[in-house]
Amino acid sequence: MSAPPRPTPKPLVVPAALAVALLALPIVGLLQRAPWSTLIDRLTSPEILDAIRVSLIVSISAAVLCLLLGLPLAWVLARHDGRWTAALRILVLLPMVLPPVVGGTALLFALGRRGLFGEWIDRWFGITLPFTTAGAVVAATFVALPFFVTTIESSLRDDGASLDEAAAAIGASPWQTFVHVTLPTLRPSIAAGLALSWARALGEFGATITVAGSLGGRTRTLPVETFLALEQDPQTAVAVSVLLLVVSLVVLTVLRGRWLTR
Amino acid sequence: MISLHGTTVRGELSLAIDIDLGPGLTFVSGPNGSGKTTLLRVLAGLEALDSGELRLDREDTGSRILDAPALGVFVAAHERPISVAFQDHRLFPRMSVLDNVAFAARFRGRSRAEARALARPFLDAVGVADLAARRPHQLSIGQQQRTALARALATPAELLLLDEPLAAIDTLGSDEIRSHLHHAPQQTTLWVTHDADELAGAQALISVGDGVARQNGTT
Repeated sequence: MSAPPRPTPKPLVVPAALAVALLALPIVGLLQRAPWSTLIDRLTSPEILDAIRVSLIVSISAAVLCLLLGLPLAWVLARHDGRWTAALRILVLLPMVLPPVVGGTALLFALGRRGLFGEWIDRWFGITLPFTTAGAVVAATFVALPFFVTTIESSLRDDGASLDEAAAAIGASPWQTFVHVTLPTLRPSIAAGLALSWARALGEFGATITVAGSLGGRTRTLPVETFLALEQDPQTAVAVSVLLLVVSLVVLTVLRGRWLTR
Repeated sequence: MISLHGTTVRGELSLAIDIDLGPGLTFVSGPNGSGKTTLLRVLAGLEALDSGELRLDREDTGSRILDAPALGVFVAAHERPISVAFQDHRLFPRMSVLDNVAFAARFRGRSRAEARALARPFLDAVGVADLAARRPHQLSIGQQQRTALARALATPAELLLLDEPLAAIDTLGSDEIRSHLHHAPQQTTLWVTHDADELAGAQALISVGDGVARQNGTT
């Protein structure tokens, strides 16, 4: 049994169709210009392979950092209510709406060699962030973190604190509850958050190029490579774009897939 | 002996509590919204007293204060010797029925196999032994409630708090469980119920209403 089709109000039809066109036409244009016969050769040239390698290192590291830092933060946000958590939530969401180049500039001034914190990060840990792979990872984590935290936080809120109470009421400590009750329940959201934050980190451009520049084999990621190639070798730029488009579609398909549903 | 004398205020509800609980079964009755669940939550440490004192007196180890705002004492729920069966069950969704019931033993240092072996008799007692491998979402409401009850019974505790533990279980099934609960307890057990038959046979009773929880009946 299926519901009968509900007629769409006529004034909505044209704007909806225009929206579809706006979203679909660029993809059609990209695919039409794609150098299909030389696609594999272009994507396996040494420069592009280097960029793929850098992009994978940077985006996977960023997603792992999102998990390690974002999961505890999401728990704190979901389980506390107060003025300071409201302020904290704005801070967490900020990188979502902040122009990435502004984020990059801020990171550079804070964590650069002569920056407020960069000087002692350099002295204590020997880590220099500007124009290094580590810097690209920090920039990518900065922009990807909100995607991970909001995914986990909303799931934690859905479950509420009632399972925490149930575990406490039979003697489980907060840590035992987190490990044995909360984490297993969160597994689908963690997978979704990882996929989202990884995809955002993979596509990161503005903050990365501001903080880490474009050093081949170290900080030149696929989006940066695409931007540089547009002037000298547009066909390669299109080829890389097709690759990133396919990756994005795969991520979306996986997110809708059954292994992420409860 | 558990003694609780004090008040707690939660939004609209203000509850003055005046009870001393000995071992055995005590029923709790009162109209909807009168504060029966709040009383259990205060005992469990899921709500705090605003004044007064909750104390646990034992012959062997002496007296232990669990909640006393004037003294700045509040023992967290997981550090109290309690076990709760919630009215809304709250089973852990990613664990089987057996592992839900075995959970308390598991983090008290037992191996998985030991904890499961300890849990099985409790599944039998509430009639869900044949559902041991199922996940909570595969159970009927009544089966979920039985599992929640088994989980509470399987938790070693001095104070067992049951919030309408048989409300979703049909009469036929609940009789067996009822007789199990009546015969078991050396521990102090509080049982919230609306059931007139249960209340009629009650040896000890706490009635909650008009913002007061007090004992009437013998202990």
